[in-house]
Amino acid sequence: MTHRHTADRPAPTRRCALAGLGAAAAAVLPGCRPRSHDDPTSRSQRKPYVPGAEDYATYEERWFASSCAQCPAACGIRVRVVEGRAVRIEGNRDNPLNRGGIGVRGLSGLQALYDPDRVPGPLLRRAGALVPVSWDEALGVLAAALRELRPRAPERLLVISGQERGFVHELLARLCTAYGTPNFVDGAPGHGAPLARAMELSLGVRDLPAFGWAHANAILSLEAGLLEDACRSIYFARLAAELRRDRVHRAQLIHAGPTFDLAAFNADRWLRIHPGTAGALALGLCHVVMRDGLYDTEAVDRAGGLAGFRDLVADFAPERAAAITGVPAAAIPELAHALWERRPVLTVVDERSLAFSNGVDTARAALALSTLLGAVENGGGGLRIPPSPPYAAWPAVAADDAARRGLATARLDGAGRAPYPAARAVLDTLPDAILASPPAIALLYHANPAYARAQPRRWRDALSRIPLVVSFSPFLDETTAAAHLVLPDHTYLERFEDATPAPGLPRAVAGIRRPVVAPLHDTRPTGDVVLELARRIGDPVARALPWPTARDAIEERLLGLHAAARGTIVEASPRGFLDRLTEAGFWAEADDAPLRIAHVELPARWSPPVFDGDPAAFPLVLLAYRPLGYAEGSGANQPWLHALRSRPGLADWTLAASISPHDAPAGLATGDLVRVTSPSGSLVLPAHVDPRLAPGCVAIPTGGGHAALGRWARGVGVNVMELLPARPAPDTGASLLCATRVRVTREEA
Amino acid sequence: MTRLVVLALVAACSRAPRLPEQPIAFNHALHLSVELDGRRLGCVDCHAGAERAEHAGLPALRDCLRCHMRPQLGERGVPSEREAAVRKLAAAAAPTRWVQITRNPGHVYAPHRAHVGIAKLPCAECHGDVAAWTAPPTEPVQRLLRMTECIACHRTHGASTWCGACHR
Repeated sequence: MTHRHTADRPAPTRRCALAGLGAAAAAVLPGCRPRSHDDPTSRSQRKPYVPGAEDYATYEERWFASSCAQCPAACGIRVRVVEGRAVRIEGNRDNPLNRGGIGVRGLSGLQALYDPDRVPGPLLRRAGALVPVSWDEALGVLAAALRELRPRAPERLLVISGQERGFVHELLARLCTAYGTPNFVDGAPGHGAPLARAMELSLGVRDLPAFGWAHANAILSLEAGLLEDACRSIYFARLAAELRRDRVHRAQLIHAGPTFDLAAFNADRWLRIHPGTAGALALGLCHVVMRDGLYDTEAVDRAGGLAGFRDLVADFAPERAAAITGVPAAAIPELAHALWERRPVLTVVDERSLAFSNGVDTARAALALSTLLGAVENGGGGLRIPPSPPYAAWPAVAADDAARRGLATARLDGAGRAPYPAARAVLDTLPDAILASPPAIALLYHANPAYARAQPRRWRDALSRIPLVVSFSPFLDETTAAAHLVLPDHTYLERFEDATPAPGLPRAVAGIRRPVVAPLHDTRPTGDVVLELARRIGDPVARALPWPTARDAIEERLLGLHAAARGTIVEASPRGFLDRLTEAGFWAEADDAPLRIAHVELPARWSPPVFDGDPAAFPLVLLAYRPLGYAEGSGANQPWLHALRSRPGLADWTLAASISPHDAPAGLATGDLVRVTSPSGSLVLPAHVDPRLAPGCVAIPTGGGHAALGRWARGVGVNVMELLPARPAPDTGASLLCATRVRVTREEA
Repeated sequence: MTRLVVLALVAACSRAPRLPEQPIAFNHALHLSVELDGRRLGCVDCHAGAERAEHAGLPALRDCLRCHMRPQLGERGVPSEREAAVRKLAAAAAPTRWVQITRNPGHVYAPHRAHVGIAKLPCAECHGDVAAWTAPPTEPVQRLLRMTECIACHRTHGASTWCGACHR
C-alpha cells in the first residue's frame, strides 16, 4: 500500500513548493513571539495593578494569619500575599478550631475578594438607577434621613443584620438602642434557635451545645448535616477522621436521615428514616434503654420531669417508632444496645435536624437520649455548655426620652410575644408587617432577604414600600440591587474585626480578621460607617458610639482577653497583647472548659412535623438543604463553588431535584426536566433520580436562581425559597427549610 | 532556493527575543564584592525571599536606597550613572519594574524555600555564575536546568523524585 502510494505520488511542482513554504512559515512564525513559559515578562509585570503593590518588592510574598468569614464557623486561615495580591488561602494549623483544615468555601475566599462584579463604591439611586456618589454625599443623605426621623418615630428604623455575632453586629444593635428602635432583627435566627430553645428547656441554658468529641466511642447523628451545611462541618470533618483513624478502638458514626448526604456517605451505618422523625427514633431508643434498664440511673434520677418522660417513651415502643420513622422495628433495640455498649455516645442534632416544625421536640428528645446514655454529665465524651471568650464589655447605653419611647413600642416582627414568645427575631413575619406598616428606613447588613428567605417576591414587594433601603453589602445581590443607597463594606480580607467562631467548641476561641490586602475598591468597613453616622446624627447617639474607628471599639472589647491573663497569649502591655493577637489570628483557652450543667429537665411531648399542603394534592415532602458550597446562596458569585459536586451523583454547575424512583413520574431519567409545585410556588429544574433517597421526599439545594450577585451567580439553577411558605416555627419563630409538601410532574424541554 | 528561504526564515524567527531594558543596569559582580557591616553582601540580601518563600523576589527600590540614598560610588571618585538612576527612579515614585531573567516553565514547581532555605543549596547550583555578571544580560536565560539534572540532584540529596513533587 505504501509502495503503491509512493509510486503514484506526482512530481513536485512550483505550486507544491509554495504550499510547502507557506506551511513551514506557518509552523515557524509563532516562534517569533516568545512562548508564554519563555516570556520573561509574562508573570508579575503583566498582572493588573492592585492597590498596595507598591509596598512590595517584585515577587515578595508575605503570609498573614486571619479568620475566614465565608461561613459562621470562623476557621483560622493563613493568606499568602504576593506583590500585594492575595493568591492563596489555607487553614491555620495552630488554630484549635480547624487545625489547618479548611472548607471549600474558605478556599474560594479569593474569588469573593476579586469578584469582578463587586460594588466599586457608594451608590445612590437617582432616576431609578444606582449611580456612583462620594462617601460624603452618601453618608450625608443617610444621616439627614436618620436625624429627621428620630424625633418623630425612631421605631420606624428597621435594621436587619445577616450576621449572628460579632462586634460590628453589636455596634449596629447599639446604634438601634441609642437611636430608639426595637427593630433590630438578627438575620439568621432560624439556624440555631430551636436547639438553643431546647437547651433552655432541658438544661436551663439558652445556648448551643458543645461536645467532648475526642473521647466518644460512637456518634449518633439525628438528621444532622455534620459534613455539609453545619457551622461545625470543618471542625467535625477533622474530628470524624481523628475518631476513626487515630485510635485503637475506632469510633462509629451512625447517621439517621432521609437523604444520602455526605454524613450518610461517610457513616459506618446509615438508617434511612422519614423526614422530620429523628426525634421519634430517639424516643424509640429511649424506650428500649429504659425498658431494658440500660440507662444511667443516677443521671436520670436527678433529672426533672421523669414521670412525664416515662409516659412519653411508653408510647414509643419499637414497633410504633418503626412505623413513624421507617426504620425496621428490630433495628431499634439492636441499636439501643449497641449504643449502650459503646458509651460514651454523642447524640447530635443541628440546624438541618431542626429545619422542621417539630425542631424543639426533636432536639429535646436527642438531649433526653444523651442523658439516658450518661453523655450529659460525662466529662470525657459528653455534652457541655460552650464557653465564651472573656471579652470586656462596652459601657451601657444611656437612652434619652426619645429612645425610651421608641424602644417601648412593639417589634415589627412580633418576636418576644405570642405566638413567638421564645423568639429573638422572626424574619418570616417581616414582609407582612412591613406591608402593613412600612418603616421609614431599613439598614441591611450582609443580609439578602429578597433572595435568601422564604417567599422572596413578597420580600421584594415589602422592601419596595420602604422609602429608604440602605445596603452595606460589598456585592450587588438582589436586595442591594433594589436598595436606594449602597454603602459597600470591605470584604473580610480587607477589614479588621473580631471573628468569634460559631458555638460548639469545648474551649473558648476568639479569632481576629485583619486586612491582608489593601482595599481593592472605594469601600469602607461598616463599623466605621456606623460610627460616622452616629457622629452625624449627634448626641445622645454619638455619645453611645464614641470611638474614632470601629477598630478602637473592637480592641476595647478584645482587651478583656488580655485582662484575663490566660490562654494562648499572655502579654504585659495591652498594645503588645493586641499586636500578638493580630499576628497570631486568634486567642484560645489553653484547656477545655469545665462542665456547667446543673440540671436536666426531660421532655413530656413529641409532635410529628407539620407540612403545608394537602397530602392528596402535594404527596411529597420538600427537603430544601444548604449544600456544602452554596450555603444559603451567598457563595454563588464564586465559580469554584459551582464546580463542586456537593453530593455523590450530582453534577457541577447544576442544581437538581433529587427524587426517589418510587415517586418519579413514569420513565423519568436523571437530567429530565420536572416541575416542582408547592402551595406557595412552582419551579422547573432538572431531576436527579436517586434510589438512595427515602420515598416520599424531594430534595432541592438552596443557592441557585440568582437574578443578581454578578456574572457567576446569575442563571445557575432555581431558587428553592420560592417554594417555601413564610411560616415560622411556633414559639421560636425560626425559619424552616422543610415545611411544605410538593408535587412533581414531568416538564417538556 | 526554496530550502534556503525556509532555512533563513527559521533562523530569523528562532532567535531568542531581546529582553526589555532593565530599569537600572545592575552590576551583580560589583555588589557581591561589597562589604557592609563587616560582611560581604550575599544574594539573599536583595533576593530576600530565597530562603523563606516560593519566589526569591527582586529588590524594591527602598532596599536600594538603604545604601544609595547618599552617593556611595561617587565618594570614591567613580562616576556613577547607575546610582543616579536609582535616585531618579525614587524621585519618580513609580514601582520599579525589574525584568525577570530566569524562570522555570509554568509546569515546574520549584520553590526557593525548599532549595535554599531547607536544602541550603548555593544559588549558583541552579542559576550559574550570576555573581560574575557585570551587566544585565540582553537575552533571557531560557532554562535553568534540564530535568535530568534536577533528578540527579534530588537523588544525590535524597529528595523526592515523585512526579507530583515538582509538577503540580
